[in-house]
Amino acid sequence: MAVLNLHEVMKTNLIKQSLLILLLSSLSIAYASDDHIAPEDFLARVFKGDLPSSSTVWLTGETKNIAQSILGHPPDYLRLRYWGDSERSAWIVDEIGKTEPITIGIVVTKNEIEEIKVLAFRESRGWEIKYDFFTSQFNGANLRAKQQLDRHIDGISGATLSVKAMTNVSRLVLYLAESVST
Amino acid sequence: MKNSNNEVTKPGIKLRSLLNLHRRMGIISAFFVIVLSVTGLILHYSPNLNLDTQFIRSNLLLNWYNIEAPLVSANYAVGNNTATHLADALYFNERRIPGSFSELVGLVVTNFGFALATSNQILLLTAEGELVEILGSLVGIPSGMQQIGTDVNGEVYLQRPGELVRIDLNTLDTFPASAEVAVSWSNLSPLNSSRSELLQFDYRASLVSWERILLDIHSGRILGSLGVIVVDVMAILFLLMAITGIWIWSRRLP
Repeated sequence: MAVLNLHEVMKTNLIKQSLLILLLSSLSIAYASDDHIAPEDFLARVFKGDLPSSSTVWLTGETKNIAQSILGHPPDYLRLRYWGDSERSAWIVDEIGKTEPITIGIVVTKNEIEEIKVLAFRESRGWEIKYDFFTSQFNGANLRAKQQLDRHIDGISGATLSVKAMTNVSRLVLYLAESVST
Repeated sequence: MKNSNNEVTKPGIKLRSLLNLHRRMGIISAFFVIVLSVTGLILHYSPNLNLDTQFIRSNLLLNWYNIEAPLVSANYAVGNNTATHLADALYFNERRIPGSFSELVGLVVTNFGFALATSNQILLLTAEGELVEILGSLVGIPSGMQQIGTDVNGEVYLQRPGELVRIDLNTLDTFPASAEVAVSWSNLSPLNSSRSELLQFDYRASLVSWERILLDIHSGRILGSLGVIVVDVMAILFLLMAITGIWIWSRRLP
């Protein structure tokens, strides 16, 4: 009987724990599903309200060729803007995932990714890339030879193109950040 | 052998009729098996085949989907160059600028090419029409723009409700301007019908991908709700075939 009671207690605890995990998961999803961060808010947070002046990098000549090889297509623009300096800079880049542009904010410190964030996701699939469990893989990443990241980024099933877009944008930004710091 | 009505039946009749039914169901569903298998296989490799980024340009299929061409909402011209807005798309001459855009308010010539203004953005283009950058509120571009124009010195001005500002497109600084300044504003211009039709078709042909078509064939939606019912009936037929097939096989076991 005592054994039975112990089983009952364990079962009840297990159910309670499962419900708690479910509740916390749904809360985190509800919080994370706020899928639009205004670029102004992103920059204000990154620079703690003290927004530095912006500068630009031209994607012409050799830079354009490398940008094209990183993105897998010619860049849609000739000039990319960033805020900050060669030590620490924030970049906001639009890149097509499948058919719609994903707006990605990246902070680079000393040629390493400090933070990467999806600011606006407009595709119907692949939205999992905006969660921290995915974006945190990029933290501390830098470039090794041939503009490749120094680490493997685990993909997400069903979000292949969004993952690819984010990885390519991170490579492009690291490459451009390096070019402005040298 | 007697059945429940005491009628004498041959033991092989039920099996034979089941076999006939199975065979007929097989013939009826063969076409659908082929269509579903082929479309399913192609869809599996859709990203590799870039079917999601290739769009149909067939008028027949676009008409089938009832996709109508949106009307040109605004067109501005400078010499032989035009900036055209239809739906959420912006075209410089015949080239579509990537992105979605709100109301177009003008096009002016600058010292590096062209500046094209929407109500809340300025798009900088080279003389060849390549997009340099899209400037928005992040770099201090004011919202609610109504017009863009230039003065005799080539300085660019923006008209907002009750406010005239001059903008330096290099530094992106804006300066309040006097209403006395003689600004040549960019004005709406008619677009010839052939260019208009061309852009309308281009926009129309950017809406339905080959992947969409294949998905709709696979699900039957290409034929509307009737197609979905047909595919559902076929699915039931496949189930019955599987059941009758197993039944026949089990009855034939020694």
